[in-house]
Amino acid sequence: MIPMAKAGADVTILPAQVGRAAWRALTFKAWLETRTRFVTGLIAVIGLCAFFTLIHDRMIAQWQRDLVEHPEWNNPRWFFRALTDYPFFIWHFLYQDMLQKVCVVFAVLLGIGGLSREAAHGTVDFTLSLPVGRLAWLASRGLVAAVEVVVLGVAAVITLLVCSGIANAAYPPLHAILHVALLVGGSFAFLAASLWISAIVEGEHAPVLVGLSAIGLFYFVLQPYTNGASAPAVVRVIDIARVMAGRPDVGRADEAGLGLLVGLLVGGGLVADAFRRSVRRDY
Amino acid sequence: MSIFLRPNPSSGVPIYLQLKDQIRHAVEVGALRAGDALPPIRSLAVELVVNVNTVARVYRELEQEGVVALRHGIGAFVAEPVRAQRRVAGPTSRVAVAQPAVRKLVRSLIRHGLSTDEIRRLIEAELSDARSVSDDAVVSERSSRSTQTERGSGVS
Amino acid sequence: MTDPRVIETYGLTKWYGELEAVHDLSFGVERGSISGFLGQNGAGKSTTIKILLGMMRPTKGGGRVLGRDIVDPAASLAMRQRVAYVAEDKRLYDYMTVGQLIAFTKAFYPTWRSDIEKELLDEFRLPVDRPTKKLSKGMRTQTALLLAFARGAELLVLDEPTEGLDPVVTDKVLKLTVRAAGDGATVFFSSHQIAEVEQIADRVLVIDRGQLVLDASVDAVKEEFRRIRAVHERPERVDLTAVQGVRRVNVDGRVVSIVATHNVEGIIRHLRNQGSSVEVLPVTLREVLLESIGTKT
Repeated sequence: MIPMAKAGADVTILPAQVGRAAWRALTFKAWLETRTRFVTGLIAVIGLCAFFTLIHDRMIAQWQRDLVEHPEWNNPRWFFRALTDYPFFIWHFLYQDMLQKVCVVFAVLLGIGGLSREAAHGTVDFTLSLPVGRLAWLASRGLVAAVEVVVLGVAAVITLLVCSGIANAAYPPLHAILHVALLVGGSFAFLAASLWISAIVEGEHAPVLVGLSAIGLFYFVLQPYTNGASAPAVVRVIDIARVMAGRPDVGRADEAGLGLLVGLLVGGGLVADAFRRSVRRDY
Repeated sequence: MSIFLRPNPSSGVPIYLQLKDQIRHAVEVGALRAGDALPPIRSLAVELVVNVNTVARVYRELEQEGVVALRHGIGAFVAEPVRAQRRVAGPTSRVAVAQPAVRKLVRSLIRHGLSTDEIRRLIEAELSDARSVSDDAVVSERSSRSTQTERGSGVS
Repeated sequence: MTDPRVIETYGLTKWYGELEAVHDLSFGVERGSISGFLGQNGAGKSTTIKILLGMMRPTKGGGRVLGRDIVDPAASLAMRQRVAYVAEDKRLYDYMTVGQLIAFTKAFYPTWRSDIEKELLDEFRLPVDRPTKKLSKGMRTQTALLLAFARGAELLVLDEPTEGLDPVVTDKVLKLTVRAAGDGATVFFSSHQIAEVEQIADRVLVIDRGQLVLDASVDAVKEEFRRIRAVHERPERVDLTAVQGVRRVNVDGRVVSIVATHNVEGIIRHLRNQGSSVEVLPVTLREVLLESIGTKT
């Protein structure tokens, strides 16, 4: 991942003596910084998953009424499959669409922060005077955010399974686990991008705006292109949104594997660059 | 010890001089009497909010002047009046003038942790050394050292 | 580490693009001493401090703090475990309470002094459960000072530690500083208050436009520095280039005003030989400072 640095470079995470207590302090700080965003994301994820599972029956009933009362309406292909295939219904609305976007947005939000933001808040002098290497600052932030993303995923799975049970819909756990895992994996790439943006963009609000704009650009400009028929095959592999959605059926994740790997490698590269920039910079 | 007033840092007089004057004055008017203990260096420094080195210098110099007596390991006390000390001493004036310097040297060596035997040996060694060096050499060395210029702090 | 010098710099230089913030700074700070660092805003005080603490890299030159090379990141990291720093910007993490900040900072310093922590919480009357964003500026400074003094550090680097504090608290802070130095710590503090420097510092360093213009003991300034005023018919004829101890010369009409660091007798003799009438006056640190900065020679 991050290559072994030569002697003298800022690799020493923390003086060995204080190791564990210091790591606890760093992760506690990162947790306090992201606490509100995380809880908001948790509510959004749980709410979204609960909503679609619980509303499913009523939605299907309404659709069936529409079919009878409005035979002239043009219905897309997925509609008919969604009428009868419950996992597909979940896949269409959540993994391919809303849950994916929510995960990506919160992955980016959780990655915002770091020394540039502290500079905007006037605390960077205090922070940098502590006996903590710059790698440790970045790593603690990244790790806490990554764990939070995983927890969001776990919350999604649990909510889906529990609420499906409440709605009396049969839902294979493996479907949820595999697809949420894909979402989490893809979100890591977005988290890495967010860490990188935080290292490049100065200020309090600018990184958030840049991050969210990048997501907007990705989903509303890039995606329609890569989804179109004219896009070459290689684009499908790196189209991370498609990768994250995976195939609607359980267990078929061949394309997804490669795409995810590419995404994570790029993410790793971005994090390494973020670290390199932070070491070079004067604050 | 509220008999000490805070020195004025912005006055033209260095703080250590102000403090020395205060102590001498206190002894003169009887606020401090022979045998009274002076506060430890550190606590006086903190109380008056001045540098510890300043108080240390004050005590040291007052001791050389005979106003204060430093008892190693115990602290600083107001010394017996000078008249009493002179009655005890009796040697010739040259020796009397030299005595404070010797006392200062011996005390400082003791403070540095040397034993009386070590000090005696050092002095014996210096004495035998001094006998083999000519007076002229000593005098010329001393005069060249005084003309050696100090490094100024940036002549404009 | 029995190195007598806790801080030493060699030719420290820092450029920000076209601007030279610090030029060829070389000085040393002895163990156990209190050094005051004076200079105008923007003169380079904070830049110098940041370079010493490894927060910034110098363009040229280098230095050692507590025996460690300031330019080497690993050495600087180890050094920072024994250093307490109060920044010019006293802001702290606004999402943490005072208590959380203490627990956070404590985790990095094995030499943390819980007794001092308790003493200062009490003396400064800091509300442990209040988030720092709700603290007044003065209380924030006091919190930052608590975090510094309780570290049990060998070196205290304080950038304007009494800024914004009322006189009572300022006095407490100066007492703490004196006490810390008495316990063996070395203190390097920058200030705008000349009186504070005169009161507790052993040495004073003055920086002006990135350059060190004074590095002297506070007592020397009071005891040895003198203002010598000479009245001379043709002041331009007065030549002092060969004379030792002349720090600054100002000519105003027929009056030649000299700030001398030593060799006062020699200077007086020289001036009298040139036919001037001479008077000697004391000079305060304030005057030396004001004459050292702001004006080009």
